[in-house]
Amino acid sequence: MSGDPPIRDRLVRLLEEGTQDSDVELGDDTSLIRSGLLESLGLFRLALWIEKETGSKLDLESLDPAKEWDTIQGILTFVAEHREG
Amino acid sequence: MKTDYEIVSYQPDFRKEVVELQKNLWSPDPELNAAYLEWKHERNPYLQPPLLYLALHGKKVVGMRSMFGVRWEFGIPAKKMSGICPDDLVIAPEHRNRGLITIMMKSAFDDLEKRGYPYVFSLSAGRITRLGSLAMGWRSAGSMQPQHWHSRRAAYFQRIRNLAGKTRLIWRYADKLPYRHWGKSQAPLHELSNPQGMRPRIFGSRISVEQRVRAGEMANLISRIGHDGRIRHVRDEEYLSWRFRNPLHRYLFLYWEEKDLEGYLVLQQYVSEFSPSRVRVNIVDWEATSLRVRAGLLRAAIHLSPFVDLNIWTATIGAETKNLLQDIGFQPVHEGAGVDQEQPCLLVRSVRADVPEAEWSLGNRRVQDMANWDIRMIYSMQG
Repeated sequence: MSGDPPIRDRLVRLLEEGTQDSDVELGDDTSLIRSGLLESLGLFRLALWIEKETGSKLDLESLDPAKEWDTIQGILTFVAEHREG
Repeated sequence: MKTDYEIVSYQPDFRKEVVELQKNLWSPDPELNAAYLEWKHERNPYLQPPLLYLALHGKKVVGMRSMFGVRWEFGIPAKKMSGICPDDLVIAPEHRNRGLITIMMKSAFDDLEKRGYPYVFSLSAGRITRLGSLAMGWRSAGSMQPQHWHSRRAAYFQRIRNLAGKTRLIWRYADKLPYRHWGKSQAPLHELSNPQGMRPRIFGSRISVEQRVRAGEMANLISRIGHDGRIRHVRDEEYLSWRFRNPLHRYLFLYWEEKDLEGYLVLQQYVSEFSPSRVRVNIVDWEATSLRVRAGLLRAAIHLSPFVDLNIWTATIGAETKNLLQDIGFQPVHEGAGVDQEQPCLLVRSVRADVPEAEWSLGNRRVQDMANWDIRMIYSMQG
């Protein structure tokens, strides 16, 4: 919808909520998962967000979050590649 | 990421704090938690001293990741190997989302590598831990494909009660209907035990229902039935004697006896207030020398009580047994796809990060392939 903020802004807002106790500034190449910045509930919320954005359920048997979602750019690429339609 | 945490191994001095921390996971009852810690870790037959990684903040225990010992067997003739299953991941609420899980697991994997463990396996992960594990290099070998059976009688009376509760004038009598608690909680399994044996007219005189685990006879039966070489737990007398003492669960044993024990079926229910379900009863182990005995035990279990929700994992059971379950009325638990679904699954990981996934194997059996496993719910702490 035209009133929605761009996807990158929505993603950054979500990640900032999930990493609020951290001092790390989020950039496109900041390591989110391998660094341990995002884990547990924050990671779970990210996965739900990705499912919502792509309109499809994640296949857990082939999922490799540390490889595919470690950076903002990686997440955006994943969403673009898995978006339905 | 904050790094003001210290990862240490469990020592008995930490016992009280661990029991307290586990009020976030095991149960709100510290005595029950203490009993569980003692059973699962301090009395584990395969891993002594206990292997629990604790995160300290200052001098306070704020996180824990435990490993419990198991013994695998695989191949023909069976090769046996000690192993570990990571379990019980808990972080104090005020320390969550600070990278502590990653710190603890990195420390744990470094230590496990030094101890020489090649792989870790998990059959008990909930949906959040499952996703976190995948992010740390674990792989899912697939769902346990749970199936469940519902009592038609229970469902019927539930519908009657619901209808009565909404009907003018008679709603006040709804709570006086028989079976009014169905759907909320299952009666304790132990109440179903009958030392005199079950009603002969239905079950014959060969099946007895007991609270007592006959570990020696069960182990002997498992040994007599043999092994097809798939990866499974060693279920010897020592293991079975230990396994069914879990204080967070209740167990009930159905035995089929002729000259020797010819089969058994173990039912389990949860005790803790934090349990996944107050009504669920699980079939956690089931062995028999023939399909006739297997079917007899299952039918006897069904007739024991009008179970609201009787569950079993079916991912690795044979076609004959699957057909039997279907004939009796078991149906697949609806497992939606996606991260939000609680799906019991097998997670595996090489302890060393530099071993390619294609090489993860026990014997010549690839551990990520569910076809190479023979899994019972008792291998998991869900059972």
